[in-house]
Amino acid sequence: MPRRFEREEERRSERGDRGGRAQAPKKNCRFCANPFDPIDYKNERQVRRLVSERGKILPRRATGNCAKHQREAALAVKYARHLALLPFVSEFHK
Amino acid sequence: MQAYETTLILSPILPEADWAARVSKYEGLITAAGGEIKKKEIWGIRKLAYPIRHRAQGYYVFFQYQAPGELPRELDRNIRLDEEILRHLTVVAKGAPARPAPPAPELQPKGAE
Repeated sequence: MPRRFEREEERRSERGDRGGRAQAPKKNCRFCANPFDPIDYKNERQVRRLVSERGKILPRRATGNCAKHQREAALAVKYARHLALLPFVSEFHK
Repeated sequence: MQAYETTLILSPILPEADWAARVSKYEGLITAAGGEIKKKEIWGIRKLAYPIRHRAQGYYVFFQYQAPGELPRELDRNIRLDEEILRHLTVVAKGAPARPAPPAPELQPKGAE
């Protein structure tokens, strides 16, 4: 017979569940962690990791960047696109 | 004086002498304005991520230099007149922070006290 709980909170605490939406694990900003490897629009391999397969700029929730570095990252992607180091739209998706 | 960096994408079908001529021309413009070239990189022929003026490749040249603030505008004007330059970009160079020197070796062995 399944256990019965008097209150909803009691049931949740039993399962280690605080209710509400699942929280994404806390990510740390890569560029804060390593200040000697700054974002560089010329570094194609680095900038490629900031965009999706389609060539869209990844959101902070995907990259884990802090606000400051996300701004820098977005700008670097735009510079790289201008210099044709990165596509505006990837070939595959055209 | 401000630190800048400029990347040029030249047409890939020029004879080699024309590439060299353009590199020295723009170098000359920078130094003539009182600038000082810190770094010059010839990346050479690279595939473009998308065609520019029906070209799939470009000849990339990169400069990093110190120059007075009026130079980028003048440089830009000259570059625009050159039909063999597919693309160019000048930005204020953001110096990478210097890596700190490795810590000095510990003189006293740990736990000496």
